[in-house]
Amino acid sequence: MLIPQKHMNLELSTIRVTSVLIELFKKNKIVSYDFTLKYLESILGRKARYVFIDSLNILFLMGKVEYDIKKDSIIYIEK
Amino acid sequence: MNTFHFIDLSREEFESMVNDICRSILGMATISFSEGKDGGRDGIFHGIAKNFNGYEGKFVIQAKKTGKLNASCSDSNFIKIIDEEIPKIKSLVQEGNLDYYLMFTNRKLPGIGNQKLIDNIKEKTGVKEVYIMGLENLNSYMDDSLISRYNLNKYREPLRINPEDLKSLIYEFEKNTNHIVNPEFVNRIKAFDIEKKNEINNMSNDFYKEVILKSSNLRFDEIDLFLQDPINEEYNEMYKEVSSEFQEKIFTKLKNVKFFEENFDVLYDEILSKMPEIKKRSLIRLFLHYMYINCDIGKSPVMEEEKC
Repeated sequence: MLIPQKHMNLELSTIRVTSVLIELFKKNKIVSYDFTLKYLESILGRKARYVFIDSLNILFLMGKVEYDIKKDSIIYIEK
Repeated sequence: MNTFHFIDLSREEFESMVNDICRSILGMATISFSEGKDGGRDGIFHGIAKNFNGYEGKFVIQAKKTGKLNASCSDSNFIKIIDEEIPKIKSLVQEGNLDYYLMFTNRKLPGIGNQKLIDNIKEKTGVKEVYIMGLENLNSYMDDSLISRYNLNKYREPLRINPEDLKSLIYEFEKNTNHIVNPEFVNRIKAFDIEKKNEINNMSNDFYKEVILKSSNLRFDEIDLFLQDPINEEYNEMYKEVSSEFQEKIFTKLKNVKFFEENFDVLYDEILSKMPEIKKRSLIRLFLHYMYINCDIGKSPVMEEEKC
């Protein structure tokens, strides 16, 4: 998932998608799940949705985001 | 069991090889007939067969080569061939020129079907004995001298590839591709020194220009888009597995090929022999050419300090 491969579109790699999400979260500390996905697709195209969850997982594992189940939103954690 | 690619021999070579086999199993007095109307005979032997049950009499040798992979003696077209031979055999028997009839073919030989064919020939012609020698028999008759004379050496080792992944890849690709060529991709081959790659791999210029550039090249962008799509990650992995397997086989089992394009033929035949159900056969070649152009198979100019 994270390792670059020869036959891959770098624009749709998890690293690239994650970077787009970070840009969004830096501007908006709490973003709804739906909006996050739509924003991502508006920047990188519809195919980015297949990498979306992987990228959110990376940010969660790094302690950069949390998920608010009641608001169905992503919360950016700034340290 | 080793299987030789008799399919790559010409009809004349196959007939000559069969007569050479008969020289060793019947005797040196085996006479070959030249091309043309053979009257149902490609060779004859009169006398005592030294390595063939000690039979004595008049032997007629017939060779029937097929160009079809996985052909069997129980196929309807072979039964038709036998039916066409029956009047000739009958006539030779009646003239007193035939006691033992030996038919050699590079088709697989099923036990039950074989006996039915033999009984049919015997019943309709009155010939004393009939032997049908299929692919399995031919393989067992191969010795070093025959292998080298008919250049069958390079095919001695079976490739043992598993094209299951390639089949899934091809099916999925065909289902999802839109056949729309993106002009941005068409000149992608220029991205590295393909001439250098062709040179170090001994790819003939004619094959590269007439086959890869003129036909396959038009669809390389579709494979690119397919493999790069994140939804196809699973197929991208399959592609990697398949190409690395082919690459290994090319360097270990196919070292003796003269031109690189022969690798495509051998791999194509091997894939089809394992997966004859693949309908879009042209896609097998397309993927093989794509692997070559992308330096996934063959020597890469990277070794020569060129980017690939």
